[in-house]
Amino acid sequence: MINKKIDDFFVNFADDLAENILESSDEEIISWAKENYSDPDTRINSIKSDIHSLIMKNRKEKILNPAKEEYEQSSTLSNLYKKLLNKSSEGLKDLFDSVISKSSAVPDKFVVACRNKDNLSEKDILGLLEDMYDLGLINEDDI
Amino acid sequence: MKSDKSYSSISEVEKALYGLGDVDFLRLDKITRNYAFKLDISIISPENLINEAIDRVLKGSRRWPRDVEFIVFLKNTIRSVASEYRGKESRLFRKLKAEESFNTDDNALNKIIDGEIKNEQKELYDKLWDDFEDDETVLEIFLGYEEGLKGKALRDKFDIPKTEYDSALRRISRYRSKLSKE
Repeated sequence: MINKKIDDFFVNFADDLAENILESSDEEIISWAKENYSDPDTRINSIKSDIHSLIMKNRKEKILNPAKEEYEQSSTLSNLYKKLLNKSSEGLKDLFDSVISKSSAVPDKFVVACRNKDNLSEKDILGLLEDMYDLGLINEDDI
Repeated sequence: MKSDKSYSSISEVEKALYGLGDVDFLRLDKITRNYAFKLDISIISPENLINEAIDRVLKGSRRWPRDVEFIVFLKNTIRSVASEYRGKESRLFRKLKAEESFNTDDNALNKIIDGEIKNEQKELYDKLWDDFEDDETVLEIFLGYEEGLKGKALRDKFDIPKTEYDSALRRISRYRSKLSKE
């Protein structure tokens, strides 16, 4: 019980002082800074500079991260192509047939668009498999 | 639950940060030192605490609700980060104590460690009461804190005028600044 009382004491103590700091006049804040720093301007400039650096760091991260994601995506695609190109024409057709026949998740419109699949060229099949990969209907393990 | 529109974007946060005045920076500095009080500098310094809070805001892990004043939002973020580091400090203290102890009974060891943490806090608590024993307003404020009160609720309970309350808080704050330097 005594511990709870002391815990409450310190939590309310810190929160109340923080509220009071928010309500303090500019003069009071400046006066506190003069008591605690030999040169408050140096402290102000240091905080400003830190904030500017943090803003720049976070902007850079945002610019670099999408580029990284794109790179990772493109290298996955090239691996996919390598695997597909290693297959024979028959192998590609078999893969394509197995995907559209086994997957109940293949949208109807997609199946209709491929009605004349016997006439599809190797290039068409490669393009369709790439689309299927983008749609999440196949993954690299299926190839 | 608040929708995305209830929060400011990161570019709005950046604008708000660039829009802060010199006194706002000092105000945030004072708030940070308040929440970092007696927090071991090897865990996090007040300078790093303010940077950590702002970094989280810029990363979007702490989002600024549109209906909250920016400086109040920053104060809340600093409070939350400080509280997290206090937890880390406590866990580190427990780990160190456990490593240097030959006691293999975890329950007994935890009781000893809890006791050490509480003793340190109790010493500070007793010191505050002793050092303000002649200051009636401050003692009333301390009583209020123990009862879970603060601000207006505390002033109303003990019928303390706002100006008197603010002066008492300034005395406590100044005293605490001195303790921080000890």
